[in-house]
Amino acid sequence: MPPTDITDTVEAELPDSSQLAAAFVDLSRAVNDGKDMVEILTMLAERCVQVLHIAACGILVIDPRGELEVIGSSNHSAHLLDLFQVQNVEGPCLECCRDGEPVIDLELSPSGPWPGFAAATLAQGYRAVYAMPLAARGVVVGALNLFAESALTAERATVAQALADAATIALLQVDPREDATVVTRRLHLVVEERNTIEQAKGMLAQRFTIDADAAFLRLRDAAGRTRSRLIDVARSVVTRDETHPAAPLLTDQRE
Amino acid sequence: MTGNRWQRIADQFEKLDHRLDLGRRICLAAVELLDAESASLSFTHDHVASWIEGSDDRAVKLDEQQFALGDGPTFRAIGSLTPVMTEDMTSPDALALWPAFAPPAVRLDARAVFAFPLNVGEARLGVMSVYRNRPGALTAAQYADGLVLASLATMALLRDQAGASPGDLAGSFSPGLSRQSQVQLAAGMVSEQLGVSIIEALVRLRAHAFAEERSVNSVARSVIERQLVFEKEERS
Repeated sequence: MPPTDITDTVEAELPDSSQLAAAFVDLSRAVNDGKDMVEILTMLAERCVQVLHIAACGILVIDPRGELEVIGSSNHSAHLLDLFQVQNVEGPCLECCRDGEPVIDLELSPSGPWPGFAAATLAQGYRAVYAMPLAARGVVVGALNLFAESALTAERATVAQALADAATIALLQVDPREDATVVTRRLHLVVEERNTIEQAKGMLAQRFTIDADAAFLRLRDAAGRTRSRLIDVARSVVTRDETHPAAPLLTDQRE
Repeated sequence: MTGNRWQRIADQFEKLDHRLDLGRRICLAAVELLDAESASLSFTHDHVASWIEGSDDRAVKLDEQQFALGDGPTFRAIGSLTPVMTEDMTSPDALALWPAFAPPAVRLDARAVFAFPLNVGEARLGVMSVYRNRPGALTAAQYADGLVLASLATMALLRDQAGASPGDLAGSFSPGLSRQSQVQLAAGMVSEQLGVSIIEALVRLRAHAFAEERSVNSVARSVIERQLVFEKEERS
């Protein structure tokens, strides 16, 4: 569904339309500021949780090498990542990426179509799951995954798809039918940047004895305070570049 | 949709002579899949090639020249996150971009050069180069095949350094089961625990998995859950 539909019809019905508008403004500003995709998609996942009143959100892309990769999520805990991984074997997201259509399961059940995924998701307290395709011009490049305690209203589901469309535009920035190689390059780049950021998170998690979530926040805070791109700060952490302005913020002062 | 490319390339591998070493097989597969004449793998340390493997002598020579000259797509790809592509070495653009390497490349009939970095995040291990005798771009599918082969070479190198047998590499394809982000997170933790580079950390994770006959994913999980801590004195 094109994003233009929702601004006219849905926004007025939503109590939190200003939050929604803010989400789109944030997104376009982040793209214009040249923020890296991992940061943009993470921000989008966090916004989805706020705007849609859901429990958690994750954004996955199809690595051109063939795997499904989690790029951004509202919550970096191992629990959420577990969910995604179970889902990589079976689950709505895989189906959504394969067919390019939204896949919605409002009543997850261990006896349903994806028993393992349902059990793991229910164990986290989420009963409903939405997988919205990240697709442009018929080319599917990933999925937006929403986990909720109960079904979303139809309006909110529409908003979710609009946010997924916005994420796709930010991610690709080109018409995928006209420049398939550029799309491949961009998807590959975002996965590699994600890898660098994970490596940096691991180093900070160990350095400060914090979890991956807190390590990400720390990284993002250092990027914000030094007006650097997240990926550049992550790179400076992994290569132990002490000349980077963020280095003093990320050094263990206890020693 | 996911997994097909890995599977197809795994099948391609099965067709190649198993007595050949894995690096050589990757080069031969690159020639075949990317419709090229030559391909090479250069493993590097601080912008110096520590060893070069090629589908033929010309590929090795083309790599060697770039490292000697400090110029060319292969040399440039070492520090790059994404592939460095030159579609026509005789074009004015290419001459401006590679003033030292373009003339010898053309003399050796390398009209198009596609250099894929061997990377995992900040771990930079080398470059896979693909040489064509004719100008022109890769298709999107060939580009993606090149990325898979470069990942395969990266994995092979890490496993080799970890002392694991490279023989079952094709068998370790795990379409749709990517735990890549966990492994990278764990590698960051190990890098900090041991005070070593991210490459060394990735190698240590694999060496541990190999020694304990576990998957690298399961070792990564133990590290993240802080059940397994690598100790400095563990180094031999």
